[in-house]
Amino acid sequence: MNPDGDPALLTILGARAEIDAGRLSAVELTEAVLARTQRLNPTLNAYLHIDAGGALEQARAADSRRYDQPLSGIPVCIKDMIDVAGLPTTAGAARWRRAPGQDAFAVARLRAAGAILIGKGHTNEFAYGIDGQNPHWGNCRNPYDPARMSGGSSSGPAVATAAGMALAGLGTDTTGSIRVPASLCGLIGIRPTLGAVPLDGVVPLAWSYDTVGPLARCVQDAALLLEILTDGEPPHPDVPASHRARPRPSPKRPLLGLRLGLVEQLLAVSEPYVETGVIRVAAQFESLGAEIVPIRFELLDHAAAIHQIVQHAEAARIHAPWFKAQQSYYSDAVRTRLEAGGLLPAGAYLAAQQARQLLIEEFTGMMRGLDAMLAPCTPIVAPPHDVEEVSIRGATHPLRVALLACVVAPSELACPVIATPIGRHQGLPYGMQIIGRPWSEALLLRVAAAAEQMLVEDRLAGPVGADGVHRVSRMSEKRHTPP
Amino acid sequence: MSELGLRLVQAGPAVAAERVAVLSEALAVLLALAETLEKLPLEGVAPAFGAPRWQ
Repeated sequence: MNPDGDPALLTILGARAEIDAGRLSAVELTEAVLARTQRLNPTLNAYLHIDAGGALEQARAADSRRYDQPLSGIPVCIKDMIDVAGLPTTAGAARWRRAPGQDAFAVARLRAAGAILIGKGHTNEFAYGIDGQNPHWGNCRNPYDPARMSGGSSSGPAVATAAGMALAGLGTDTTGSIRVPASLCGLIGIRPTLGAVPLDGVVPLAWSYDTVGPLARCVQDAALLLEILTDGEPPHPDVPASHRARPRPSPKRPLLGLRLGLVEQLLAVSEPYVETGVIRVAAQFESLGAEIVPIRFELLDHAAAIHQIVQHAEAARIHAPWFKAQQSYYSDAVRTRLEAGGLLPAGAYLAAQQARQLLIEEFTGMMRGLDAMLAPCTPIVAPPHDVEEVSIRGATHPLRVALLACVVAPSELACPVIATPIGRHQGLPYGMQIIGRPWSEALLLRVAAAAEQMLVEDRLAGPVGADGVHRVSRMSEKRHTPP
Repeated sequence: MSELGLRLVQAGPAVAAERVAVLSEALAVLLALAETLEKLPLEGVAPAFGAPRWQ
């Protein structure tokens, strides 16, 4: 059991060990999670709907079936953009809602694996936001400091998982909506390869970018959830074997043979403590056998423009069937984006998708000779609720621009990205992104596990240079260029 | 009224009159972003719809 003695704070694997050993039942675990939820949800607002009765019924069934599935008895929180049979899907909207008769595909996989569904988690309105704020349902609050933002739009699953109101969460990530709350709440979050997890039963935001993925407290939990969500499918047959995870690490040098690119431009847009944190991890990765090389993308600065145009246009089209009747119920910010997106000329949308293809080609080329890339996840720790602007390196930025700064470009690429916590600043967590080729999740999880081990062993507080900055010891001074 | 504003009015009843100024500004931002993308070498590039091509 964990030091606090509260089973709600166990990892999935830890809880399963207790259950399998007969020291904990699914009902006891679910009751512990519900008790924390009852105590904390009025403050943190992680759940929009709690199904205590349904959860206990599922837990009793798990106890009677003697835990025959990998998630038997494990309580999870489902973002309220994703259908759960018998519970309303509100998408965090004021008026729009639907009453699904069946689970979303991803939820069905979790349920079939034995998961206990505690309820529907908070989200930004229609997932069209990155801060966990919602004018209709109230703001979600960061468990490390409720006066600060949780990040979003998968705010509920993230906060529930971080605060012991679930052992894991299921979120969606269009522009960083799993990765940003994972970073601000100290969790592992996975944006899978585009298309790896089916989107049936998920309220869409933008077809070109929408993904469903897990939020978890440790890498092993995240890996288990991803395996269940993808039904253990092997990598795509079109991906050469050389691009897949290479299972030949030694225990002492688990990253031996990996060549990892460090995205310089995203370090430069982050606060110095985040930059230092990422460089510190890279330095430790070198000691575990990896080679670290700096990289720059010529087209990276265009990613935000591409993303805005594509997302505005696609979201407007998605909302068109009900927008006219419901427009007065939207928040001003989301309504304006949808209306403006509906007025974009087709040429602008097509140009953005062409530019996106150029960005993908640059990334594809850059990945030749690399196994994965490292970058900050958020350039700052969780900001206070009442700010509209934040300061980064002395310059003022709109909050939305700042929180999206590091996650937009990887969202363009259809590739998997893992957000993993790497440190804290003034007690607040921040994370790093590990970005790879499509279907390379296994390799990325291996890299994330190495970072997690360092955090556990507190090795990230390594040698500090005379200027107070942690250095990558042997990091190549020569920037990586594709062969 | 700006040219963008006129285009919004011409868009018809989908855009309420009091929204024209707000939308004019929002659309102008998006169109300015699109202009920056038009400067890229897009000729002959097929758009990246859905899951893009990976080589």
